[in-house]
Amino acid sequence: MRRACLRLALVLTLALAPAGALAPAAHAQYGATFGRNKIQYEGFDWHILQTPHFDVYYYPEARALAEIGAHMAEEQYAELENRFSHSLNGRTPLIFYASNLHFKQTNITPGFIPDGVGGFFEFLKGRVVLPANGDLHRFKRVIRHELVHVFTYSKVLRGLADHRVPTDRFLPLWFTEGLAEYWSGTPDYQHEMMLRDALFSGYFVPLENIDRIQGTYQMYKQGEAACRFISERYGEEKLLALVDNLWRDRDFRAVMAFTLGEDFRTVSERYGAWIKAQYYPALREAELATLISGGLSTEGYSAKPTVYRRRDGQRTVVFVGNKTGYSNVYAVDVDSAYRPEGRPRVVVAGERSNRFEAFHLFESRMDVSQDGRLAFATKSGEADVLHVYDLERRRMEATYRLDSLVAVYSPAWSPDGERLAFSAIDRSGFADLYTFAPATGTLDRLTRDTYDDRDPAWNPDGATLAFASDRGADGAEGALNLFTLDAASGRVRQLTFGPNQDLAPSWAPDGRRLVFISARRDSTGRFGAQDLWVADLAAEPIALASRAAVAGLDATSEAFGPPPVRLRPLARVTAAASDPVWTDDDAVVFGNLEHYRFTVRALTGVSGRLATAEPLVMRPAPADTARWTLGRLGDDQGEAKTRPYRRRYTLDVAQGGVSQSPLIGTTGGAQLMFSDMMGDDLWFVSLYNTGQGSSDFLRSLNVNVTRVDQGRRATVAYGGFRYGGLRYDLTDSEANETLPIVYETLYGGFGAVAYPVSMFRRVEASTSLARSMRSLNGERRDGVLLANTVGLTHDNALYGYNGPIDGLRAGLTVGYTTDVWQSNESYFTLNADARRYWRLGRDVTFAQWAQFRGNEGRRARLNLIGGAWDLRGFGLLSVRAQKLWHTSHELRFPLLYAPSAYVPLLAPLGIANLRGALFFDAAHAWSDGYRTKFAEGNARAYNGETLGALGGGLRMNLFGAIVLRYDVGYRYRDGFRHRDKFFRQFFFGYDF
Amino acid sequence: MLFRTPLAPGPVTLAVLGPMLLGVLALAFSGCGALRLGDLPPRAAWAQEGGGPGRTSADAARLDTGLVQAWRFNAEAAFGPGAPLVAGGYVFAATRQGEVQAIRLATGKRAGVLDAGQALEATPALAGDTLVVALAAGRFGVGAYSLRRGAFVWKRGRRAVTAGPLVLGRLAVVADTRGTVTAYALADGTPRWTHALDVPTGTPRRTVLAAPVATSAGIAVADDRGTIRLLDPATGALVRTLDAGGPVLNTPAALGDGLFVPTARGRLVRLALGAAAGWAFTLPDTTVRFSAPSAEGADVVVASTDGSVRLLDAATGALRWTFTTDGALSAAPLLTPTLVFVGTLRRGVVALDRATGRAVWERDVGGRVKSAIAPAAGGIVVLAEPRFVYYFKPRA
Repeated sequence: MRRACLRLALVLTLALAPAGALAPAAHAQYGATFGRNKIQYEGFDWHILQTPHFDVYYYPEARALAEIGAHMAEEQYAELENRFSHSLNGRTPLIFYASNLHFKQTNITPGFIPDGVGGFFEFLKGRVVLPANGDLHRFKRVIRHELVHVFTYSKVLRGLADHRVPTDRFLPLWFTEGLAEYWSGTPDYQHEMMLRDALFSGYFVPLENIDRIQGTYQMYKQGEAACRFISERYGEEKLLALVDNLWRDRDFRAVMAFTLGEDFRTVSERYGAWIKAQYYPALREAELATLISGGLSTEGYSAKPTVYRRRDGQRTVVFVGNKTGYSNVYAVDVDSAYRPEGRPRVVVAGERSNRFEAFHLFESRMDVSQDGRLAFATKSGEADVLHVYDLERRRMEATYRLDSLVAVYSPAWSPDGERLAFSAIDRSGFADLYTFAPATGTLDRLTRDTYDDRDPAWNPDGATLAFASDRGADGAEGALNLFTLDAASGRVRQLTFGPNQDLAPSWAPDGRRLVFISARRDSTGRFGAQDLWVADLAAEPIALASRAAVAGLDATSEAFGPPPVRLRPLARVTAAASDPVWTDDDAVVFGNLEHYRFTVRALTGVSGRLATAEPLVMRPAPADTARWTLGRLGDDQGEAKTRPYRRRYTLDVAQGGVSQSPLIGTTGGAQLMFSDMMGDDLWFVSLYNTGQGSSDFLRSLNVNVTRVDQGRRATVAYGGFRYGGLRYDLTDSEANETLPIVYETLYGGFGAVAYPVSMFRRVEASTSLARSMRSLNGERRDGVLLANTVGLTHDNALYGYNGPIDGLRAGLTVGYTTDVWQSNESYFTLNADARRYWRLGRDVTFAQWAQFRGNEGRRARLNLIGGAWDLRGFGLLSVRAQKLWHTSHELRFPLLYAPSAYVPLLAPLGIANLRGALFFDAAHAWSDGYRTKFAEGNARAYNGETLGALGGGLRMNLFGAIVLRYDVGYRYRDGFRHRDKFFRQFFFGYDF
Repeated sequence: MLFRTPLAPGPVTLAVLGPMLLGVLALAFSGCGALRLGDLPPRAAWAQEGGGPGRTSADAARLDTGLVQAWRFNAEAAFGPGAPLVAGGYVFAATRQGEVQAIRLATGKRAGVLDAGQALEATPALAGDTLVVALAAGRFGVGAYSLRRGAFVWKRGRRAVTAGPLVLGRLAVVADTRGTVTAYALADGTPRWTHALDVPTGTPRRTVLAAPVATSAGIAVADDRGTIRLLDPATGALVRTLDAGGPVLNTPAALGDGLFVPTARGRLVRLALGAAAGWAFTLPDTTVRFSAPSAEGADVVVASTDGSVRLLDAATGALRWTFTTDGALSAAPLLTPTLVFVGTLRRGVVALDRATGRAVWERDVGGRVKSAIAPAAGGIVVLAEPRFVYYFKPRA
C-alpha cells in the first residue's frame, strides 16, 4: 500500500530517521509528512480467553462472539490437525473484532484495511486477526481460512528446517490462498460468480500464467479451484504432499511435477480442461445481461441502484460508483424505456472528507423516499452514519450518527417517509434490523439475536418488512433465505427455503411480489449464478384465509406453517446480478457483473418475462422454521480461563547492516523493534557506530531509543538519543558553495504527538532538547538546543501507479529553535507546502506544487532543494539558503498502458504502464543580506536568483512498487533570462 | 597494484588457495561417507523399518515403565517417519539432511557419520554389516554401504525413494516414488527383478510411500491410491491385487496371514492373505490419517492424527481400547509385551498399558515426535524435533 499512514510516518520519522547520520533531531527544520491517518477511535478493553490451543483476544461487549469464535477455532483446530498431520506447539493468538470498522483500527498491521479484507494472518507474532461483522458463517470460514495459513506456515517452516534447507522459499501465493479457501469449506457463491465470469468472459488465467493475477480476488478463487482439481484428480492427500515436498525445489512447478507425477504443463492442461468441463455446460441456460438489458452506467464500478421519479416526471437512477478512484453517489436520468439520457453525474462526492469517508460499496444499498430524499450510509470517523440527501433540491439534508451502532447497512424508507429501516451491527458484533425515525430521533430494534439479518425492504403498505437472513433451518449451513417481519407484531415468516443464497429483496409496486437475487445449489451442491428471481406472494392471504376458515384457526398461527410462495426466475445471468429494484414501469433496475465489470442495468418487460417462466412452488413443512444455534466455548470444550490483557513486549524485528560512505566512513549497526500483542505500543532501539577505528568507537557510538504509543487516538512518541559523527554544517549561510563538515556529538530527548482530526487531517507537535557539541576546524561550538514545532497536515490525495493523481495535500509547520545555554542559535521556522492534483480526464492529471520554507533568526539553518524531486536540472540539494520558494507544475498523461504487450522483454519486469509528463519548475532561495557570487556555468550551489526548468519525461512502474523517471529539458537561471543548459536526469521515486 | 603469476605463488596466494583446495577436496569426497564400524553382529536387534521384514513394530523384550533419560544426541537435522535402527550397541539415525548418524548406545557419543549427500526420508535397512540406504532425492536411488569397509559397495538408480527398503534374505527390495519396485542383490546390487505399477491410461502415475512388507503371500507393495500388490519375492511377478479402500501413505504390518493396512482416510483394514477373513475399521471422520500399525499376538495397535491410540483385536477388528491425548499422532507405536509406546506431535512420549490403554509413563522431549520408537537394550530410542535422539534406559 503506497499511502503512508500517520503511524507509519511517525515510526519512520521518529525512529528510523535519526539513524541517518545526517539527520539532526534537535532542529525545527522539517515540514509535513503527508499521508492519511489510521485512527484508533476506540479504547478497546482487551481481555484474553484461553482455550486449549488459542489465546482469544476480545473486548467485553463482544464476549459472546468471542466464545462462539473460540468454539469454532477449537473445532477447526482438531480437523486441521488431521488434514496437516501436524500439531501446533505454541498457542495461537486470535484477535476478534466485532465489526469491520473496529477491525480497520487495528495496529497489528500498519496499512489501511479495505472493506473486502475478511481477516489476516500475521507472521511476526503468528497473530490471526479478523472481524465478525454480523455474518457468523463468514466469520467461521475466515477463522478456518486463517488457521489453514497458520498450519501451512508452521508445516512449511518445519519441513524446511527438518531438511536444513534455507527459508528462502515459500509456497506460491495462489497455492497458499487457494488451499486456505479450499479447506475452509465448500465453494461459496462468490467463488462460483468469479469462476463463471472468468470462464465465460474469457479472462480465466491458465495455471502457468497465474502470476499475472497475483494477489487478486480472482487469484484466490482460481487457486481454490486448482486445489479442488488436484484433490479430485490426484487425491486430497497430494495437497499436503505439496506442502511437505517444498524442500525439494525452489521452483514450485518442479515440486508439483514430483508430487503429482505429471509434468507441470500436463497438470495445467488437465486443469484447464477440467474446469471448462465443469462450467461450460451451464452456459446453455444462461443469458448475457448485456443482451437482455440496457446499460445505465457501464464505466468503472457501478452498483446499488435505486430509482426516483422527480416531481417534473423525470426518472433518475441513483447508484454508488467509482469511476475515477474516489467513490461517489451518481445519478443518471433515464427515459420511460430506461435508456440513459446523458452521462452519470456526481451527486455526492465521497472519500475526500470525513463526512463521507468511505462507502461500503459491496454491502450497503441506498433508497429514495417518495419525496426525493436519498438515504445512504457511509463510514464517518469511528462508525457508520446515515445520510439524507434531497434529490429535488440537490443538497445534503442531514447526517445521523447513531451512537449505539457501529456499522449501518442498506437503509430503506418506509412508504410514508417517516422511518428508515436498516441492518446494523453494534459492539457485540451481531447484525440486527432497526428502524430510525429522523424526525424524532427514535431508534427501535426489530430483531435481537445472532442471526445475520440484512437488506430490509418495506412493503408499499408499510406493514411488513422483507429481509434476507440465515435464521432459517438451512441457515445452520450458511444459507440465506427471505423472510418477512410484521412491523406491528414483530412476527417473522419465512418466504423462501433451501440451501441457497437469497438476497436483496425489493417489493414490486403492487406489494404482492418481491424481486430478489438467488444463487441456488444444483444437485451436486454447487452454487449457480446469482440470478434474478421473483417471489409471488399473491396466493398467501387467500390460501391462508381459506385454510384458516376450514380449520377455524388464526391465519397467522404458527400451527399453519408458512404459506406457499411461487418463485419464478426473471433472468438467469452468466455470473451475478445484484440489488434489483422494481420500478413503476414494469422494469427492474439492477447491478450486474459481467466481464469483470460491475454495471447498472435496466431490464424492461418484466411481466412478459414472468408470464413465460415456470413457477417453483415453495411449500415448506412447518419444521423448516426451526432455528439453530452455534456452539460456544464451554459447551463441550471445558471451562475457559479469562484474564485482562496486559502489554508484554516481544521482539518483532532485528536487523543489522554495514554501509560505507565517503563522508562518514563505514557505519555498522543494528535495529530492534519490540511491540505488544495488539501492536499499540512500539519500542525501537537502534545502535550503530561510525567510528574509524577502535579508539573512535565510543565517541562515534549512536544510540536511539524510541517509544511510539499508538493505542489511543493521539499517537505519542518519545525517546532519547546519543549521536556522534560527521555532519554537514547547515548553519553557515556564507559557506554554501561547499557545505562544511563538522563533528557533532548530540544527546538528548524528544517527544512528539500527532492528533488525527479525521482520516485526512491531523495536528502534530514535537519538541526536542539536546546537548550539542560541535567541532569545526578545531573550534568548539557547544549549546543546548530546544526545538519545538507545531504543524497541520491535510491529505486526501488519490494515488495512481506513479504517484498522486487527484486530491489535495497540504501542510503547514511553524517552529522555533533556540540555544537555551549560550544563545548561539535562535531562529523561527515556517514551512508551507500545498500540492493540488487536478483530474483533467480519467488518466490525465495536472499537478501543481507550491512551497515556502523559511528560517529566520540567529544562525538560522539553510533550506536545501534541487534535483529530480523538486527543481529539476539542478544538482541534488544544490539550491541552499535560509528561505526559499519553489513551485512545480506537471501534466501527467498516459503513453502506453501495457508496454510489455509491445516489448515482451519488459514483461518479467512487471512494468505496469508507461506515462509521460510535461513540467515546469521554478524556485528562488535567498538569505537576508547575502548572495552567492557564482561562476557562470560552473556553480555548484545557487541562491539569490530565480531558477527554473522546462521539459518532459517518461515514467514507468516496476513491479507495482518502483517508479522509474527520466526527464529531459532546459534549465534556466537569472529569472529565466538565461537558458543555462540542456539536462537529462534519471531518477526513481513517485511523482510529487 | 601487484599481480602475482599463478606459477609462482607467494604466501598470500597460498594462504588463499590452500583452504580453497581443501574445500574442493572436501566437496569431491563428500557423500562418500566416513562411517566405519567393525564390530557389528550378523543379526541386528532392530534392523529395518518396523523392526523386521514384517514391519510389525513389535518387540519381545519386556520393557519397564521406570525409564530414565540416559542421553540426548544432536543429530543436526530432523528425521523421517521410521524408527532408528539398533544393532550391536549402536543406534543408526537417518536424517533429512542426508546423514546416517551412528551413536554408541552406551554413551550417546557419535561413533561415526555417513553422509549420503541428500535427504533420507526412508529408514535404512541393516543386513549384517551392510547398510542399505535410499535417498529421497539426489545422485542415486539406493545404495549398499559396507560399515566394515566404510564405503559404498554399490549404488543404483536415480529415482527418489521415500519408502524404507526391505531386506529379505539376499535381496534388497526398493519401491521408488515413480512406482517401480526393484529387487537388488544385496552383495553387488545386481537387479534381480523389476515390477512397474500399472495404472489405467490417462490416470496419474502412482507413487509408493509405504515400505514394502514381507508377508506370507509375497511382498506387499501399497501405493498412494490404496492398491496393494503382492509380488513373488523370487520373480517380482504380480501374485494378487488387493484394495485398502483409501490412500496408503504409511507402512502396513504383516502378522500371520493378515496384512494390516492403514489409510489416510480414517480406515484401517486387515486384508486376508489366507483363510481368515479380513475386516475394516473405519472412523466417521475421513480426514483422520492412521499411522503405520504395530501387530503382535492377538493385538494390532494404531495411532492416528486425531490424537488417539487404538488397540484392536487382530482377528476381528474389534476395538479393545482407545487412548486419546492432546496433539496429533503420526508415527507407528512400539508394541511390547506389556506396554505400547507412542510419540506425540505435542512434544511427548507416552507409554500405555497394553491391557487397558491407560497412560503409565510419559516424558516431554521438547519437540514433536513424528518418528517411530525403537527398542534398545531394555529401553527406547526416541527421535524428536528439532534434531535430537534420546535414549531412555531402564532405571538401574
